[in-house]
Amino acid sequence: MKRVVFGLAVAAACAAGGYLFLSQYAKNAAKEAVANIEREIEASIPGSDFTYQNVSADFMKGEAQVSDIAISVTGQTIVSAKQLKLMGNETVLQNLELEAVEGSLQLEYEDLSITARALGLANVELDNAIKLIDAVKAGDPMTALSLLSNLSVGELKLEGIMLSFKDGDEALGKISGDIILSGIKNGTIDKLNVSGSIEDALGSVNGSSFKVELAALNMSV
Amino acid sequence: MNDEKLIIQQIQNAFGLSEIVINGLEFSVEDDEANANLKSGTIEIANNTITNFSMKDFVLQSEYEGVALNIGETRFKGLNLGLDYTSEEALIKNAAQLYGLTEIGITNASFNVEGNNFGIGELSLEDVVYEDGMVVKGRTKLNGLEIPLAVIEEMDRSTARTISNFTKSENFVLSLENYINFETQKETYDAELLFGVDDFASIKLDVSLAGLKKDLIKKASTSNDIFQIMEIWGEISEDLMLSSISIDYTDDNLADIVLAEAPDTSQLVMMSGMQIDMMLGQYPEQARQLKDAITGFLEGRNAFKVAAKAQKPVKLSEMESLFMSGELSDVISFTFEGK
Repeated sequence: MKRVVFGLAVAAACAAGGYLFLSQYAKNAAKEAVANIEREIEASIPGSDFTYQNVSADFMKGEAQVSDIAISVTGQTIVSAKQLKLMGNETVLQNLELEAVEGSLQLEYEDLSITARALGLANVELDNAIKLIDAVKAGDPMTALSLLSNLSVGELKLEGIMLSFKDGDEALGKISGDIILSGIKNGTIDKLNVSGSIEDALGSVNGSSFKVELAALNMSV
Repeated sequence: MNDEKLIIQQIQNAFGLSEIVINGLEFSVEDDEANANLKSGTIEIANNTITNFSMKDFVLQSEYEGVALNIGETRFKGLNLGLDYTSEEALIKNAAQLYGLTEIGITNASFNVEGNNFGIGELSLEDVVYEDGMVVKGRTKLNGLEIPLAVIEEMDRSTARTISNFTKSENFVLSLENYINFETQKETYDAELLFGVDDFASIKLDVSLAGLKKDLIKKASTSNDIFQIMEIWGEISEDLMLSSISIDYTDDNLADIVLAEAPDTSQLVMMSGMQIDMMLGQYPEQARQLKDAITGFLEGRNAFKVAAKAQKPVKLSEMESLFMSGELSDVISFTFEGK
């Protein structure tokens, strides 16, 4: 009986040790991946700083998690998210999800603030996506457009998104809702699902204030 | 390929879409106090054809303009997107085929402008059958077409007042139904036409013809030369035959209005009897039936029916000579009813 208990204790210790080792390995890999993202972003946007709080990894799911991420330009935060979840391998980004996203931009005539409950990408073929990003970074819109038709994305999801336009304290308008694009491949989109509202409080678009609300629009090819 | 051709090609292909579903669309413009609502809409596309289009509960209102449009339901099936709608020739050629439409419907629609309400209870085109690019079967309905009396009043105040007295309504309501069935192999053509005005009267016409040649009808429907069309119709009428015809008249208040200032019934019976005797001198039995029917109708003012049925189809071109010779009743039996 003692032997059995001892055997079980050794097995449990090995399993725990293995788990801790793999967990640490996954965490290190995740940290390395996030550091790569940091380098890419800071190299792409002049004067930018990519910050984050904590990196963790779930090797069972193959998922990396980064908390409290933010991108700031010349000291001002332009976009932040409570959490970033990443899952994938060298060829396919299986899942990318940003939760509780907040951002702001100063446009020519108004200030734009953006919030989203979640932004997600699933099953992105990285080869063409990287080529597209490189073309955008190189400032080559024609190549970027032609590469766009090669882009393969399983799903692009914008949930609970809200774009608010303001001039100082005065609200000009807002756009809110959910958008899901599925099956983006060969320059076509298999399905588009949209719901939400557009509000122009001061008639900035056509002179009269208007509001459009849509419970659901589904389009498929 | 130039931009215009590319756009036409994309439209013909419906931009590659197979289905669009929209639910709960609301649009409002504050300054014009205008709003538009759509409960649901669906478009299904396959093989360059809109196989199904439907829109339910559409409302458009503008307080500022004083207009309101309501459509309970509108739908159509079979619209061919593959046609070149920018070509006049293609449009004329395909008009006979209704551009592929096999069903059209509008239910419970109304348009209110400055307090005057126009409405349609039901407008539909159903059971359409095409043969060799031609509509050979179909039913058209226009029920509950509401026209405001204010519009009639602008044309004739007295008529509007008379209508209002009988209908006790602000609107004048019409209905129209039409059904055709052209059996091209048998060369027969059956048609029904129903026309009614609420609170006044309705009339139903049934006609069965024979000897109608499909090739000639198709030639006439695709020609845009009026002289050629008239010539073709001349050819068609040479062989056209009557199998049966009936007219059913059902009265509500119209007879009362028309006969309100006419002489009394006995005088009308006598006057019409004299006319009938003169016209149908060679057909005493039919004349007696017709006089009885007229008497019955003038007394009851409810319904009047005339029907004629040929033992075998009779050429229209021969009917005048048959009537003059007194032989018409040998080949066609007549029925008259009045109550």
